[in-house]
Amino acid sequence: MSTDTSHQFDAIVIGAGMTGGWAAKELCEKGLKTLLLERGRNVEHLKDYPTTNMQPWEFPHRGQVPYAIRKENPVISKCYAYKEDAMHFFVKDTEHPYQQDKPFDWIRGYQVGGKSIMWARQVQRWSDYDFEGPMRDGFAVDWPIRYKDLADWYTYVEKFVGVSGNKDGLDSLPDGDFLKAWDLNCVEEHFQAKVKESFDDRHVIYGRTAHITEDRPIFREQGRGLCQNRRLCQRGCPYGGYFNANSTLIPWATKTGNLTLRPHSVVHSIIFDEKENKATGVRIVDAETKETTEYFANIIFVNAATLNTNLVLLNSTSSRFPNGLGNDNGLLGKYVGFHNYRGKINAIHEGHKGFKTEGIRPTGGYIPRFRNVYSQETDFLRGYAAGFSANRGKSVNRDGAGSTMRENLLATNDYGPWRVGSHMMGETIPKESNFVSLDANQRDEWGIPLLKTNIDYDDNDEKMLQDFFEQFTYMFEKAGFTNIRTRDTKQAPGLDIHEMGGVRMGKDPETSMLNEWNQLHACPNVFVTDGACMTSMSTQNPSLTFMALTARAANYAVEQLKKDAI
Amino acid sequence: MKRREALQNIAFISAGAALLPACDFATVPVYSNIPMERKQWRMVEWLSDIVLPKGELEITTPETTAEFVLRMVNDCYEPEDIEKYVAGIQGFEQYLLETFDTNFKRLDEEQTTKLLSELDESTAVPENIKYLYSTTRGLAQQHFTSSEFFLTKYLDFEFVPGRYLGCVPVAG
Repeated sequence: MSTDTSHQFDAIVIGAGMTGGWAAKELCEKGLKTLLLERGRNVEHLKDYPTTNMQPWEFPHRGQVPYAIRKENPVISKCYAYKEDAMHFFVKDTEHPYQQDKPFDWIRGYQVGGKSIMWARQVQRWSDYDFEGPMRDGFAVDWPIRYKDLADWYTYVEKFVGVSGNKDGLDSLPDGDFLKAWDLNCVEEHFQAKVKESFDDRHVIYGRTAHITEDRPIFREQGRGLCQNRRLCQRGCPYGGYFNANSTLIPWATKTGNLTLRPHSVVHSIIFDEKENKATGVRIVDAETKETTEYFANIIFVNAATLNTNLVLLNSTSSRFPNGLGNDNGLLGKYVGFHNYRGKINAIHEGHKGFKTEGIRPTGGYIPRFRNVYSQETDFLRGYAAGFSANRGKSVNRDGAGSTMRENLLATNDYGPWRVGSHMMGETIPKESNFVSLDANQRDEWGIPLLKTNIDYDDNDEKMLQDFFEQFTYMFEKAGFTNIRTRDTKQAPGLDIHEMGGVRMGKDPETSMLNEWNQLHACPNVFVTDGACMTSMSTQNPSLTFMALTARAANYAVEQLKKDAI
Repeated sequence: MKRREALQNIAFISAGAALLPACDFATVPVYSNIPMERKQWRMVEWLSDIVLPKGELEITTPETTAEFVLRMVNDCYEPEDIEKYVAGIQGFEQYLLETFDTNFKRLDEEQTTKLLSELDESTAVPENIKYLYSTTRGLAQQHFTSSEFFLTKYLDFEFVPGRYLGCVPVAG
């Protein structure tokens, strides 16, 4: 084991995904020598996007994942983005097993860039209706922060990543620093108008999305260009048109000269020094050589992605913290939540036959939460946001055989009806019984205990799902849509890829793990700023909030270091 | 002398070719899940072509239709479906013999049309033969409709659109 001085840094960041990338960028910019640890391989922007310029017909299986891979990897094969063009960015079940005490589809991206390479790029801000949820409705604990604490950091992040959006003026979904939006199409506008006619408090808006639609000096400085509407983001973008850590954060941090990026570094645990009463470093296992090494720093940011952050802390035991780092109250790993994505609804729109769309848009419509926003009005707590999109494609006659089939196909000319669809994004209530823990016996090939998941839906989720079906069926009917079909996908938690919590923020060390600056109450030089820190889940796609929390905490950490306060 | 030798050689080769009209030196490609004899492979090639004949169309694809069909079945289908497909390949020669009293190479255009409509519509066709046909048909169609030709000429496909317009009048 090596403990020489070259292993000494000002800061260590665990995980080179979206939030770890942000932590590294902020810390390096402020002059801290920063070690960024990533358990997977390096993925360099442009260089490591092998499929980015492949035409659809160039994929040997036209996008389909071969049977043997699906059979061996049933969990990851459920993920909508796990296709032939991007499967190399996802963790296979067989490579990194975990223990599902209750079914949980854990979708992971072990590489520099993490899941920011394949994410869906939706970036909606939280409002105080979200931050005040737990206090008002009596679940979890009160958030230690409010919208005003995060507002400027949202702006800070948006300016750097580039967010296309409209200023909608909604108090439930605050506006941000937006680049121009693409169109809502005519059927989406039709639905928007019909919903507005019937409801004052339901809004169909353009889904704010992390794409560059206007030239700004900052994007040029990053070496990123305008989005070219390919919607092949999951492969990595040759233009840097959407935001991922690889195109934006890692190169930026590297440019400061303060970043040391170490891929293939599986974090075993955080080292706690009892004499100094603080964390002093990180113990890693080299993914390739299996050799153990220790690195040391004044502050440590844990950004391993929600469940792995829980795992790292649970596995960081010492005589001071026998149940995991900072876990004096026994809450570590508990109160995990996610988003309920089970509800889908589809229909046909017979109108607007004289119109179609042209080109491609990397986002769609968005309907912010309208249930229980201002007061409790249903028999379930909280509510759901929803996506909404309308599409129209050519109608293809696939009948016949031989030359008849060829003639049918070559007669393709007319457009079919507009198809509309919506999916719910329901807030779940974090509960003590939704938790992760370490398997006492089984370890992976790097000697790390396997994670066990105990996460499930509850009655509140079921009621909310039914409400989504009822309300959207009603709204679809009001819009004149026909052939309305609802579908409960019955998917396990996890497939939403919005798992959060386990290391929640709060005001009181007795009832929470982290303080208002994302520091472990019991070990303040360790910061947790990825999804694990979330006290409640709300309905918005959470990445933007994770990034804003990270930037805020990193800047606070630098200030505290300067004052010698940590 | 040399010229005579050359002519003799040509005569010899021609005679050989005439004596062995079915002589086929191409190597049968190996599909790990689809064991095929040469004539069965040729038969799948033939079926893949007649089920959706390209005719005079100039369609460039990275692979032939049969290569795509066989690759997809071999790599992407469930084992029980591959079993049915293989059984279909194995039974097809006999089926043609019983139905048309010949093999696929000797079917004329009229018989081919009849065969396709029978495979498409008849309920009397054995299940595995039907499965061979419908799978080959579906995959040949996928090969065709996912080609650059069809995507760009018929389905408005653009790789780099650089725009999104939400309300464009439909021409005509």
